[in-house]
Amino acid sequence: MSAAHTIAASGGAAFTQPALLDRLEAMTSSELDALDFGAIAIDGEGMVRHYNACEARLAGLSPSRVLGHHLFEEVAPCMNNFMVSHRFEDEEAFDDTIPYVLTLRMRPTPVRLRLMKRAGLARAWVCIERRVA
Amino acid sequence: MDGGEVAPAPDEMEGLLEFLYLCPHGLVEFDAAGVVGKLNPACLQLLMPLSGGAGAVANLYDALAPYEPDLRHRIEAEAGPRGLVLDGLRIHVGAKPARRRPRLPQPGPAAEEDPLVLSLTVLRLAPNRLMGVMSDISRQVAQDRRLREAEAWFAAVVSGAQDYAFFPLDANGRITDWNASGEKLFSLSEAEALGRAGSTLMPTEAGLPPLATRLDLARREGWHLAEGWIPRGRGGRFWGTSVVSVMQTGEDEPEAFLVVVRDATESRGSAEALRKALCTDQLTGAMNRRHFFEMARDAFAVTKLRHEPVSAIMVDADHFKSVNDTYGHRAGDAVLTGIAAALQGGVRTGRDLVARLGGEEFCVLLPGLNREAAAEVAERLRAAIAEACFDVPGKDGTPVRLAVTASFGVAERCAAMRDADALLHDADAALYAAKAAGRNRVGLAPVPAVTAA
Repeated sequence: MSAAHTIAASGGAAFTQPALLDRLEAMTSSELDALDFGAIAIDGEGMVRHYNACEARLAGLSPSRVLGHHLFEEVAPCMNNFMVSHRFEDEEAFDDTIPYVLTLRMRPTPVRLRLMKRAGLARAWVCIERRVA
Repeated sequence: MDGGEVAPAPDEMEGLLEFLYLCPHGLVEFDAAGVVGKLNPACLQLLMPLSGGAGAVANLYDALAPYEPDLRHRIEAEAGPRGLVLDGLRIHVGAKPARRRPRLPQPGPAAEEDPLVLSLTVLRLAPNRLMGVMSDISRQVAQDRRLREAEAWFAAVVSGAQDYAFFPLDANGRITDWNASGEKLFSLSEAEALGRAGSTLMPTEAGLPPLATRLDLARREGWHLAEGWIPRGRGGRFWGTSVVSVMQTGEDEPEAFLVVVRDATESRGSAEALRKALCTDQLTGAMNRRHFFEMARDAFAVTKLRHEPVSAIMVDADHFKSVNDTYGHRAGDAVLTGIAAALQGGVRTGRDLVARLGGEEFCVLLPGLNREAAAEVAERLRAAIAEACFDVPGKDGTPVRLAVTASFGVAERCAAMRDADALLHDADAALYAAKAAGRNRVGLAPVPAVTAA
């Protein structure tokens, strides 16, 4: 991972920083919107509770269309598999970064996903960073 | 700082985007070299597990190459700058990729699930622009197969099979219990039956696996059906079906099997007529499609268990349509009958299977033969047909002597093939190549590359 990803450069949090989950949980909505990577929060049912501006731009969907809908069934079915959605269903706590491909605006787009969940928190997070080739 | 601004697409555009995101069928646009330009999430979901990782969906041909190596060629071979190039091509992937993340390495064979089959339809929009629609049709394919198997049951039941018997076997195939149904059907008392080898009450047709193998197949697949002449306990025989299934037993209980035997002879005048009706193609006398697929499935599983090779030869009469068009359907029928006779005369009786699969298409299955040996058989069959003269009735009834040729495609089972369908598919591709190379010849499926996968 790049040293260029500093906390300062991204206005509050870096995709690769340690304890990103705590950082996101502490941020306001506008701070989340200022991030330079996508950040999606889901509740225990898989419903989207936060959808930040960067993600809206990447996917081409505005938050109003997405909030309150099921992330893996209604918004991003391409993450509905054992690598992503099943983990949120099956596991209590993790913080893992995996290479992935999304079809943002129907273009195959290599990304990195950082999947974060911890017992006791109401929300779990999926962060999306476009991979630099 | 524009990075933080939401720039929503106009509502309609966004709605269209969402529509494509959620479409349950895979959609993909690619160029003549297979390079993917656009694809929707459903398509990515279908491709990603196949290509062994998230990064490998850049090229559609590469992603599907392990399962459909001929895809590029098939698409290129379809001439014309525009139009439908492939219509529902079945891509047999085989074992389904893991649905759940395995937490521990799974010992032993993967759990039996419906093998993954994808359907691919490709439309050429412009010479360098193609559109594909892809879906997972595993369930339909598996259901088709089960229906074909169930057909054996229905045929026996609907035609009014009068009698049946059931009895359990232990792990060694010995009868462990006996009841009135068995006494009636086999004329054996309980004392005579208990401890007796179940194999003495099983169909003994050539080509059917022995009981031990049937038990193995039942262990793997839950049950095994065989159809044939079944000996009665005190001499004589009847035509019927015998199903061996695994009995659900508790953890501490020994393994057990249940055999259900149906006597299919009672309701029909002649057992042989029944056998013919169930198993053979009326016109040519070759095995019919239903029976062939059943037997091929068996032969495929049996040879695999025994680590023996098995090969298939697909046969298709050349320019058959012109025979029909020029001389009429009776002439065409005579040609088909002649071809079937030549095929049956040129293979091992009681071992090889000769079937008419449809129209002018035949298949020969050769258990125990590898690709080279099967190619020799195919060449012999090809020469026999090419050298034979077919005397057929012409349109006005006067006999006509025709020279007919056929094209052949040969394939051998490889480790990657999950079922007989995959073998026939390869033989079919080889046949297609033989046709393309000028007909009246034998095409060989390529030897699959040994990969470290």
